[in-house]
Order: sequence, then structure tokens, then C-alpha cells
Amino acid sequence: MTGTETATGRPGLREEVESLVVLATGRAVSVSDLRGCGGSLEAAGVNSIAYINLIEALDRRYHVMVDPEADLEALASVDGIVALISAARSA
Amino acid sequence: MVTSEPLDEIVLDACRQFGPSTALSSDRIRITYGELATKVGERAAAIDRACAASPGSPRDRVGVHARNTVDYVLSYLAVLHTGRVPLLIDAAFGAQELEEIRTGCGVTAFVVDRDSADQFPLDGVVTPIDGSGHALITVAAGAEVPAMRADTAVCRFTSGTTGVPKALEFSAFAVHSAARNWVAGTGMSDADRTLCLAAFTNGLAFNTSLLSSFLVGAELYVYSGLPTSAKIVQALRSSRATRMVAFPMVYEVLVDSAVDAEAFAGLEMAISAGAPLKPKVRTEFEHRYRVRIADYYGVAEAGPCTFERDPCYRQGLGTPLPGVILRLAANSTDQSEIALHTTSMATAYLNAPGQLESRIDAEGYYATGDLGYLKDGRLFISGRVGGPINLAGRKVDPHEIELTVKDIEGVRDCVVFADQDSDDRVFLHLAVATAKPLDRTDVVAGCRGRIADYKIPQRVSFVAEIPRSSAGKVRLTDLRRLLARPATTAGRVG
Repeated sequence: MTGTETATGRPGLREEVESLVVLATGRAVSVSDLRGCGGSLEAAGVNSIAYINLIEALDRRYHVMVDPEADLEALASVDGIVALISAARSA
Repeated sequence: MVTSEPLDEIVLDACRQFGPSTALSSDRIRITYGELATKVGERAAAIDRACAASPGSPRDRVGVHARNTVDYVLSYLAVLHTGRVPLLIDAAFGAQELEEIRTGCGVTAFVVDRDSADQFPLDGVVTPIDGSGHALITVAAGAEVPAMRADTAVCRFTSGTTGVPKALEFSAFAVHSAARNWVAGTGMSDADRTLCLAAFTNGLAFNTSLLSSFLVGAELYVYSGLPTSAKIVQALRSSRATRMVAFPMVYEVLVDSAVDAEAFAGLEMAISAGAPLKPKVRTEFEHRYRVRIADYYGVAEAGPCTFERDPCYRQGLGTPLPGVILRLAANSTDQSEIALHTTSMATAYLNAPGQLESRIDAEGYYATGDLGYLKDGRLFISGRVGGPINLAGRKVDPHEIELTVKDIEGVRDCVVFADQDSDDRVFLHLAVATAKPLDRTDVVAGCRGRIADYKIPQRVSFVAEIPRSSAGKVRLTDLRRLLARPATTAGRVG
């Protein structure tokens, strides 16, 4: 997988998700922080306030309704979030 | 010592008085006052059995470390009914905080969610609590068990600057007073249904929603999980709430979201506290959802303090609630430290003897550490003397995080301070000097599970040295200047 192509073959989605995570943290976490942690939000230290912002952003931008409890595992990584969006788009 | 009826008896009196009315509800369950009395009795018997079956048979105190659920309220009331003192512990607390509660507060029994009992950070014996989603975990006793005051009924935790969470001891009189003052000062009645979006471990929820609801026969709707806009709308529809209690961050989320305003139709009052609410957020929320946001100021050690009753008044944090006297510069914008005299004051820190008393003067006024002034009889907060960092309503002791980070192998020195993100929200910034190559992942992993997730610094900056004075005090201005240089904020140094 390259920096501009996701596992689903949708160019740029991964970068969009990374940007959303960065914005959700109010830029306290950077893209390089996130990539340095292998895309793991947990390893990057993303907190619950940022998770709330991220869930709201996913709804606004992609119309993906995330259940913070049921989708917790998917929310924990950039790959998981990309998969959530992709699944919602193909549904 | 001022005495009061035991808290469980106060609730059981309410159960007798308001029998058929709904006391507690959630998206899954609805319990009347009549049923509540029965359920509390059954749960208390189950907790007694679990204690008797556990090693060491825990005696006078039980920690409650569980998610916000109806079960939580039942277990809290049941622990009171067994004659033990419940210590309400933030469910996010990790190994380090819980170890302090075990050793510093003498807690050897914890009520936890049964489905996650295997993830409890301390080693212990798990005993299911019959008829509930909870279990009792008993752990080995610490070397010393600090004595509680004879009149202590409940303990809640607060952050200070000592590096560990401090357990506040409250008498039944103080807890009852806080609830009575809230009811009288806000006009709460049996027609109210409160949707509380904060955890009961927090004073915002504990004082505005729990006992106060039961005193007047109101309904308490228990919310679980992260407060996202979709879930809040769902809860508003399910609860038909007349009151909503939340931190300012929740109002920001609702303003930024395109949720259906119709869901707010039955809401008469939204209550905000814990951190400053941006004027723009207030204006936008009130315009869009046609619900007034009433400000509330409370202090962990002193209970609920002020509330804005006048729907036309939009500045400040309101006027003192019944039972509260403020002492500070009056009718002036000269800021001074806010001192409070309340009937809902804590009596001591269980694990920090003398510290609370040292902040209470001979006349019984508690020095809050908040700076402010009075204008038109309203309280305005303008800053802090020092102390914990306010993270969206949660108070965080930077020293506690520093102690955790310093335990990570390879860390030589560090400091945690409040920074502001691009949305002007406060976040925790850690500057760290290392003796060997470390990166952000190592630091986060070293904190994860030991302290609550929300205490994990959002930004980690590596520096060659933390600038300190000859006395060892961190020179924050110099540090900020250092961090403003791009080269020093790299993710890997060492």
C-alpha cells in the first residue's frame, strides 16, 4: 500500500482520514505522529475528546454513522476507519 | 459534627413517597421509585454476600469503578445501604491510580463491570454480584488503612498537585445539602427528567442529577458512552428530558452538528459547567435549539456553588445557590481568589491528611484557587492561581503524569503543561528529555493502562534538556520558546 492508495484502491482516502484525525485532535497530533505509530490512534495517544470530534467529522463528511461502542476496534486505527467508510460506501 | 439521616434512608424515603413515578431510566430500562427500593435492598444483600465470600471480607469501604449505567446507580445506593462507604472512582483510571486507591485509601474491594472484570488492572479475586452486571474484585490490603471520619458517607476523587488522585470525604449532611441546595436554587421538581451526560464520579453529575433527582421524585435518565450528537439526540427522544447536564465540549459538538432541532423540543434547560463555555457556542446553541444554557459553577471540595436563574442574563456564572457564601472582591473587575463557605463542603482528603484543612480558614471559607470577581451579583471567573489543568471539565494533575513518564526507561526529565490546540481547546503537552532514543509510541505505551487515557499527553515534544531554574523549577517561558522552534519538536531525539 502506498501513501496515496488504500487497501480498497481508493486513492487519497487514507490521507483524508489522517487529516481528519489530525483535525479532530486540534492538530495536537500530526500526520507524522500518526504514521510513526503505524496508523494506530491508540498508540498516538488520541484522547476521547478527539474521538468524539472524529466521529462527528465522519458523519458530516462521509455520512458514516459510527457507534462508538460497537465500532471501537475499527475506530482505533486509520486502516479501520478507512474500512468503515469503504463499507458504508459500498452498502 | 452536623448529623444527617443516612443517604440510603433519604432515597428509600423518596421511594415510599413517589412509588409509581419513574426514578431511573435508560435506553434499555425504566425503574419506578417503588421498584428502586426493592432493587436497592436486593443489590445490597448481593453485595453483602459477595463481600462475605471474598478473601478478607471487606469491611467499611468499597470502590465503585464501573461505567455509567443504571446498574451503577443501583450498586452505589446498595453499597450505602450495606453501611459501607462507596468511593466513586473514574472508570478510566488505570493501574497507577487504582494502586494509590488501594494503598493510600485502604480500598480492598471494587465493584466493577462484570464483562470487563478480567481487564481490571490490579490482581484480585472476582466474585459475581448476583442479579447484576457487576462483580466484586477483592485485592490485597496495603500496609496501612487510613481511618475515615466517623461521619463520612461517600468519597469522590479530585486532582490536585500531589501526583495522585485525592479522595474527598463527604458526610451525608454535605451530600444531602448539595442536593437540597441544587433543588432549591434551580427549581427542580417532580416534573423534571434529567439527561445527564457526565459520569457520576464527576461533581457536575453527582450534585446536579443523582440525589437531587430522588429528593423531589424526578426522573434520572442514565447515559452511557461517548456523548456524540447522534447518541445525544437518541437519548433526548428516549428520555423526553426537561434538563440536560453536560460539559461545554458537548455543546460545541451539538453546535457543529446538523442534528434535528425537534429533538430538543421538550428540553427546558441545558446546564453547563466544568470549563468555560464559548459565548459563540452559547449563542448558536440557544438560537438553533431554542433552549437556554444555564451556567453552573461547582468546586469538587465545596459542592455546587452558583447558578444563573435569570433566563435573560447571559454573562458570568450566576448567583450563589442556597447554603453558599462567596467571599471575593465585590462589584469590581479586580480579580481575587474565590473563597467559599458552603453547607456541602468535604471534610478531608482521605489520602492527604491536613491538605484540605490547610485551605479552609478559621471562618470556614475554602480557598478555591480560582480567580474571579463579582459583577451585578454574578460570579465571573478570570483564571487560576495554579493547580490542576482543566481538560474540558476534567481536572488533571500534571505532576501525576510526569511521575508516570519518568518511570519509562530512558526518560531523564519531563514536564507536562497546558497548551492550546488550533480550536483553542486546552490539551496536555509533554516535553521530554531522554537518555536513549525514544519516540512518541514508547511514551504513549508507557502511560497507557497506568493512568486514565484522558491524561495521556496529546503532544509529545523531545528536547535535549528541560530548562529549569537553579532551584529546579521549570522555566515554562523558555520551554515554550524552545518548542516553538521546529527542530525541537521532532518525534525522535536521543
